Amino acid sequence: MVYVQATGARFHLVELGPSCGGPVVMLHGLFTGSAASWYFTAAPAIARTRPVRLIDWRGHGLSECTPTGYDSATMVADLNELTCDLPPFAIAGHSYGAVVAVWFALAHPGRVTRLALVEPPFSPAPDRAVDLIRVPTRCTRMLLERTSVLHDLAAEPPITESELGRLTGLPVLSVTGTRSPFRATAQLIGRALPGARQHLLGGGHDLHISAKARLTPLLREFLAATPPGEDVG
Amino acid sequence: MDMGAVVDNDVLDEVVRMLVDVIGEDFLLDVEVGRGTTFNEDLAMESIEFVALAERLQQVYQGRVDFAAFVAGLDLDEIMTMRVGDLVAHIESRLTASAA
Repeated sequence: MVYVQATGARFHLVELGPSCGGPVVMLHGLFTGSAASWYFTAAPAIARTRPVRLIDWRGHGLSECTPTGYDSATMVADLNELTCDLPPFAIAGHSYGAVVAVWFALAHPGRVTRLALVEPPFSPAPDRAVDLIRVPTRCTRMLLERTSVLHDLAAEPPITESELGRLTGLPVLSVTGTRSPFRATAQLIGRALPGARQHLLGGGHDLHISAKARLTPLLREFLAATPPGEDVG
Repeated sequence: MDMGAVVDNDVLDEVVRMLVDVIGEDFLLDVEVGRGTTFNEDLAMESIEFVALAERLQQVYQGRVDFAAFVAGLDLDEIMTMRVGDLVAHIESRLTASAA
């Protein structure tokens, strides 16, 4: 069990795989997500050849549930502290994990080698983010009832085409589900980053679960160690 | 003496001790954990608690049991319906293999 005190909260991390090789940090989405989101899907396959770190965001999994701090700026700071011991690393982020991944790559360009975005919600969201929650967990109920998470999400600035364009040169993979509520994000990424690899897989917002068999090899291949800056058009 | 049965119970007892750590004794008061107990339905374990159990397995059995590799070979339905006995059998097979 790995617990780290950082940015005013106690975080739970899961380390998988060997100690050598280019590291991969995998970020889950909000509410029903946790380190388990990747642990039971793509992470073990990726960890066969490289170290993988799974993070429980604050208020999720086994990390501390703080009353505030669910805005992307705070979560970028969380990620920065929780990875400060790593050399430059690749990131795979699902949903809001992809949002934090993009803001992190923009704020710390030298630290990210590759960016895999799974169901990135950069386009206008459904009216209520909580509508995406099908099976509420104990953690979800606590988040909704005792924290600022919904307020923080509502106040979150959108990721624009111009901001995404600043990632040019960074290998980016984006994977969207055929039944995703965020299908328009694929067009946004296509315009901003024409060199990005994009895939459309059968499934909804929980693509890491519903399309595990197809998504896992895609991520594994993309996240394999490759010199930063390689053209992945 | 049936040595196989002794080893089985050792592993089962260890797994039950880990379950007490992970989900708390209070949650286990009304459940007698045996090989047929399901993690999801009988113990109402959430997925992150399963990860916590896996981390304890790693601490106790070190490299001899790789739970992440074990679940990587299963589909999600199999993971959701897994019984305590399935996990115990996996641990035993890995311990036997590493002792050989």
